[in-house]
Amino acid sequence: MWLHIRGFLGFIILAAAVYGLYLVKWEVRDLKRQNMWLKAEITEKQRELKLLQTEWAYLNRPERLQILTTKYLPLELASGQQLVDNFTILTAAEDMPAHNVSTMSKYGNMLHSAAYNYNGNSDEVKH
Amino acid sequence: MAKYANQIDYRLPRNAVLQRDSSKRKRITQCRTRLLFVGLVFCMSYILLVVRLFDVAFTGAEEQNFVERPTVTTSSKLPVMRADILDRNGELLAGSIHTRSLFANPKLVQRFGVEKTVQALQNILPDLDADRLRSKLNSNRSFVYIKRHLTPSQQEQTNSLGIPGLEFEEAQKRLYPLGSLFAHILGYVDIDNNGIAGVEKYFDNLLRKGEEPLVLSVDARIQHILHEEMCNGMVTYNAIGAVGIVMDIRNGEIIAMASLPDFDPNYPGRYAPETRFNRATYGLYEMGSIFKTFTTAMALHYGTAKLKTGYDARNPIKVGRYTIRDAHPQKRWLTVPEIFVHSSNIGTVKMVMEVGKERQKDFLRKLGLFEKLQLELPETATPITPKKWRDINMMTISYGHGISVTPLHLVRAVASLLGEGKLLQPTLIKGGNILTENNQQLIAKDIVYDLRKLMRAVVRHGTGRKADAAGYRVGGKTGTAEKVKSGNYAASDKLASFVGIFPSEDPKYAILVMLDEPKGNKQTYGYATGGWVAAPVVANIVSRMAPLYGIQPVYELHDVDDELEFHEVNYQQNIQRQIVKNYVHTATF
Repeated sequence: MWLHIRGFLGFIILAAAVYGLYLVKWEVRDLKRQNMWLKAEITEKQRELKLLQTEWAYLNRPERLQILTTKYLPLELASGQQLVDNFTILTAAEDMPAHNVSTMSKYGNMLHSAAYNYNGNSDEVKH
Repeated sequence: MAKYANQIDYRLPRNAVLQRDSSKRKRITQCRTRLLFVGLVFCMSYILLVVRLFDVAFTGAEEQNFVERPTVTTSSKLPVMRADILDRNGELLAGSIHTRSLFANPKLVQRFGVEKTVQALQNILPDLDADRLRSKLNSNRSFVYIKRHLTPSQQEQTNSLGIPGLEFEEAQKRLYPLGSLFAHILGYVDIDNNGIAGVEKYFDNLLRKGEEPLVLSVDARIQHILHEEMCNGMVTYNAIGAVGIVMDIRNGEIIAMASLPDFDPNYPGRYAPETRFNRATYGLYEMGSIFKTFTTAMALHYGTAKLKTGYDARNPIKVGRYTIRDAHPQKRWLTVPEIFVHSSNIGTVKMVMEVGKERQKDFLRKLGLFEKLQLELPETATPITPKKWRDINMMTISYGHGISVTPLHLVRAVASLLGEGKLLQPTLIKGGNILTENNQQLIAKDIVYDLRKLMRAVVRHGTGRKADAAGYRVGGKTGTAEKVKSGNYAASDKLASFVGIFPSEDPKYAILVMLDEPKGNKQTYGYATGGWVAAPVVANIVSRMAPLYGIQPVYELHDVDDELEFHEVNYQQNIQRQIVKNYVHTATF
């Protein structure tokens, strides 16, 4: 009897092992397929991305942007006259009469107060 | 026999029946166990099947999707994509995209019907030549290309025709999204993606590996500005060609470089062969008066002249059958700055005569003007120099005639003299060069400063006035050279050029613009010299490029060349110069 139980148990274990192996095999096969598929999809996506990047570069070529800008935007080519350094801005705001400053934009007012602070600080240093 | 019959014991052993009985029973038990075993196995199998069925029916739906997907070619079979080429800001200049090419097995197609195939294909690919296609499909071969690089929609349509014998091949196509903008720098590839010109050829092996993208030193925005302004200049002055180079003086990196006329590297075959010629690195030209920069530099370097030294520029110099004249004759004694500012040939020749042939040769050699240009392009040229360096060669070379160099040679030499005074190595690769202590110091720092002043003076007071871009303190030198046509200088066909630096007090960029055979117009009063046609192009480039790079304009009254003296000649020194004058008259050539 004991022998039978042992045999039976052995069989169960064997069956479980076989079943387990079977499951693992299927799992692996699925994963392999999945892996292959994902790899293929990555390649496909990379290709698409590449195509889009090239297209983007083509659409953003300086020549075209320039044409579109002149057509649709109220912008001109930047010129040197539009560039000033911080010091010039500060001193300009300082020299400006008060009523002129008040008509300046919010940004201008901000600069004016900055100039004021700058001036105040420098006075302190001098004294 | 009977005698022994009694002796035979016919009886079975006493326990015989019992024995037989138990072995029978044993066997029956065994059979039952086996049956049970088999039954169990079947049971288990059925359970297994049932479980699997449930698994597939209810939970395996998603997995099923994977299985049903059409098999796609795995990446290992794909060809390596040629690496990208980017500009210094990461803009894509050259990239490869994946395509499919259509090929046919004519034997299979013939069974289906050549005429039907041709008609079907023509609807999808209208640019196919029907007769050629027919002869291809009627051939005996088993592989003919029908069309390379189909668009995705063409691919789909062709595939849905379902014609046996039409098949696709994986391929890649090189694209240059910016078109002709970088034509001569990038070069192009053939149909099998082999680089056959430009950077594509020079770095062919590297690009083939398909690893890291190649980052060039060029800036697409500046290249666009340069290209556009050059085109404008070419149209305005009706020139046959143009060259433009923008170089970073601090490290020799080429920020922009263009040669006109150019071509679209996407379709190099559609353009005339001469458009593929890179004038900037492969064209050899006599550059004219820009060479006076080198003559002045060498005179200051060898100490044969100082800024205040004066030379007699009243009379043309006669050398054998040649007469050296000034284009803008001042007819008086001129100081070194005046010679430079008015671009006096006579004064420059007198300066170089004091320097001497050997030192002139030596100086020009150190500036790299005799050697083949080292650059990351296959199209580089070796300058043409006189075989025998006679006195007349020394004189003409002092103002840029009788020696042919490429425009890039010239920019390199100018950038070297006006930057650190060290020889720069031009490069097309971002971060390709680091100026080290090993770079040979060509001239002392104070001579560099003097040269900057002189160049600034040319733009403020001299031939290069049209190059001034408000606030950016452009310095430079004009050059107008007559082209050699059938062995003689042709006075009407000129090369007008201007090399500029900015900002003069601490130059960051060197710009060269050269127009080939420009014609003067009303605005230039008919002049087609470097100062009239090339200088304004440089001014436009600087005023568009500097704000982009955030270079601060300066509007102060003080300027770098203020301390230079004009119209003043130290006459005591001039008496010493009489020796030179005599030398000119007595020298035999």
